[in-house]
Amino acid sequence: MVFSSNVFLLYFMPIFFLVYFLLPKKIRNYFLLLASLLFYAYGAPEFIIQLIVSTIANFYLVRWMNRVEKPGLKKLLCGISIAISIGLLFYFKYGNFTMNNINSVLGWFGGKPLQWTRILLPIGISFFSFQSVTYTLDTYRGVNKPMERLSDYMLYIVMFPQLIAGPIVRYCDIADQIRNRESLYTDRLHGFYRFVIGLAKKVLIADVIGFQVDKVLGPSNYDVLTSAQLADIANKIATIDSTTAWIAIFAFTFQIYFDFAGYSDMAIGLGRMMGFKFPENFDNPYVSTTISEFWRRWHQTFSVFIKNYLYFPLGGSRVKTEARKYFNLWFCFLISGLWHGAAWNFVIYGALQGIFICADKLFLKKFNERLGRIPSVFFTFLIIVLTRCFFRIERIDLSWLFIKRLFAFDFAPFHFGDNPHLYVTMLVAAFFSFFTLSKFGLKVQDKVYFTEYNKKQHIIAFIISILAFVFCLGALNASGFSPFIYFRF
Amino acid sequence: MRSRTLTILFTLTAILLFAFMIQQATGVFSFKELSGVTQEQAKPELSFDNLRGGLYQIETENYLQQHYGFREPLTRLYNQSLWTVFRYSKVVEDQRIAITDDNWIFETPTIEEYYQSRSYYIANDASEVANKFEEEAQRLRQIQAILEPYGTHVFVALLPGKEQVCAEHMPKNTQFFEEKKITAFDFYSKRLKELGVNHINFGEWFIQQKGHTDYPLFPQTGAHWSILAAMHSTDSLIRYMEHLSDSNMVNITIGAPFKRTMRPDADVENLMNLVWPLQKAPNYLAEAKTDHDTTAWRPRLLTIGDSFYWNIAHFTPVDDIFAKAPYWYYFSSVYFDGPESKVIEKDLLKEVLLSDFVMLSYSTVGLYQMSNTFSSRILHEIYYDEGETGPVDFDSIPDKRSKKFLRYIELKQHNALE
Repeated sequence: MVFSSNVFLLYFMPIFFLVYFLLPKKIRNYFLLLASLLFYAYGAPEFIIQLIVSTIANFYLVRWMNRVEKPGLKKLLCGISIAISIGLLFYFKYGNFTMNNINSVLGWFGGKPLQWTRILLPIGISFFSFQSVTYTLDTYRGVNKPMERLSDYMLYIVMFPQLIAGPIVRYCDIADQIRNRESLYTDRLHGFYRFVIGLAKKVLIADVIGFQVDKVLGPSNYDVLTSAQLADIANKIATIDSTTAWIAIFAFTFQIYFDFAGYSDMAIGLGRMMGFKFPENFDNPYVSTTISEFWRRWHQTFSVFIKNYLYFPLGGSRVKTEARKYFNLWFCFLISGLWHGAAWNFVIYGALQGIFICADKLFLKKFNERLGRIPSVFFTFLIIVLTRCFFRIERIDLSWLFIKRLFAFDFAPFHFGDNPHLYVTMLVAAFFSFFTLSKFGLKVQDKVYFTEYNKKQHIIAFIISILAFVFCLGALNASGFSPFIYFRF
Repeated sequence: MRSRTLTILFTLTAILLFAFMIQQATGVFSFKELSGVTQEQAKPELSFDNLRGGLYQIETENYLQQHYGFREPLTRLYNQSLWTVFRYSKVVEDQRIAITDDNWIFETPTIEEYYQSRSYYIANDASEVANKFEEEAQRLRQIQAILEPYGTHVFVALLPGKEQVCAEHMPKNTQFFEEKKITAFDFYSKRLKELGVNHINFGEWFIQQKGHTDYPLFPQTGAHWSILAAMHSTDSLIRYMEHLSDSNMVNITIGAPFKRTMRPDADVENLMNLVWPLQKAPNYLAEAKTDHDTTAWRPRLLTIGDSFYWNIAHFTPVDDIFAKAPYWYYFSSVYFDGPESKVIEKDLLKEVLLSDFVMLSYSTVGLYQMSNTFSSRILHEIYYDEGETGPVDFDSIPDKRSKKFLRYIELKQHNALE
């Protein structure tokens, strides 16, 4: 189930919150757990058992790990726990990719391909696997004690607002809130406003832009296409003019931000309605002056995860050689790229990000500083836009072909009147993406997102939210249904 | 902070969230239905297999999309906002239409027809398209000659296109052909006349009438001729049929026009599902009735043609004029002849011989979709028995007749064909 579906908006959400608030506080967590399992089971019924079993197994493994004294055994149990989480992630997410590549290599040497039944990817596996890992490692490192109750642990893993697309919540950040939290009326209302902001980002901006991007670049997931459809897309890309190509890739850059940030807003909003304070996931990433800054602002909880659970264990920056330091950085981004999808284009995407991060450390940051703030923001944005080609187009040859078309300088005349809906939406997206470049913009953002409202402000926010919710519902159903991009990751 | 205001706001939020569900279940408020045909999603069946396979979830989403509470006003609100702000309507993309700055709606084929940018225009009377229409005219000449002695009059009704009558409102197009070519419509009309094939060309009449009627011949936001234009054309059709059969049919009287927009006069605009009407100028309706002449002949008419016929079928007293008036939408669906069926299920020869008139009615745009299925099939059934094949000679009319044709003619002569 996704947040921008009718089932969620019209049935699940109202019924859930009605029952949740009517129940005594003591049993709200049990109800939330039950609802979360139902939420997941509705969207991925085939994987609910696997999710429950792996969660239970991990809970008892970590408790056992916490009890044992011998460091060796402790390490072993920690390893098993992580192996379960990462193993499942690897099997489901990278099984097909690995087998395809093995068979390709076998094919080069004249060997017979290995038999393999394609596996379906359980939604959200990348997110809940990571949460499970943070729990194990934080407990192992002594950052926190393991949960007393299985139900609390399961709630941490499967809580529906952040179950399938994050934010990736570290156990230590939320443990107390699971046991004890307040849901004041102001939180409930702020949560609802935040949810509606997210819904509007998704439905009124990301979907509108995405619809047009798909027309140029085909659907976002090439796995589901037939070879004839792929050939059609290849043909389209090969003959695309540079104006359309640039518009398409800029459009996608905005689409992915508003899609994912919209989802995060909805998740944070739903959490807040129940009294949870989930970490923020985006901090105006497109106003970054360097690629390093971009990754501190984009999908922040994921970046924190990679830093804490991959970069630091590799040695981080405290290594003997500079080369090793840069390798660590680059490798983390390579893995980040692969995390986004089991395909070579994502590997290239990650590798490119890693190269730019290293370049930042070496010279790019200094170059950007000399450029000045505004030019460096747009220079960084341009790098992000260009690397997005490898993110959006899931075949390297086609990504490359597309980049060639971008720089073919075969510009067709631009007519605003051809598609005002798209262009105005892109302008709106650009406005909100760069709004916080100004102090005024930052102030407004702070006021809207992070300040407690007085009565008058609540009334205004309420009216706007209700109108926006109703409008989004109309838009969602008038223009068709569209799932979130990040569900695939 | 827990104030009364916040409690009230939160309660109102909860009520709003439930309002859609309650409206869906009870339909307590009623709204004007949305226009357009959608593939209706049946209420999903909840079963373990459906749920496990994900079918239930997909069908539920589709079902809710079509049935959620307040769907009609919310869809209109959204469409109106897009139209007002961006002049964007999904209908433009989906239905291949264009809307001009002064809100005149044209179907894209109509525009292509006007600017002769379709692949159907005819250059120098010698093209594949010209050959197609030449053969069609020749076949009709044969059909007419064979069937008329047995009381079946086949004729062509050439209906006008919006581009002919409302040319001044056409969207501007830079790809205008300076050297005008002959349209298939004009070519076909010319050849029918030269070959003496029965036909009535409403296009000429419409162009003559333009600006002289107190109702629009074509509505601003519809694709077809106006209801009143269809009514007046029906009167001309009756006179034409009387002339062909040398008979006396009923007269229809069309009352004074009064302002009213019926669905067909804004058929494309309706699809846009807006809150406020796009067309400011009024459309008109009138009452059409027949006199009670018991001596008048009420023939059987079979109409084969495009969707322009719907305005005749729905707004003129067809049942009082004709003993029976089935309508075949091109060569596909059958209407007004028992339960809706397909043409392919019909005995073509029998249906034609049972009819006093067979009207092949096409507008300028619909003409291109006319396949030669009718004329070639009926000629084949007249000349050849089942399983036989042979060429059709256009220079002379062969004497050969199929057994089936002869049998039907015999039955018809004994009033036993049914």
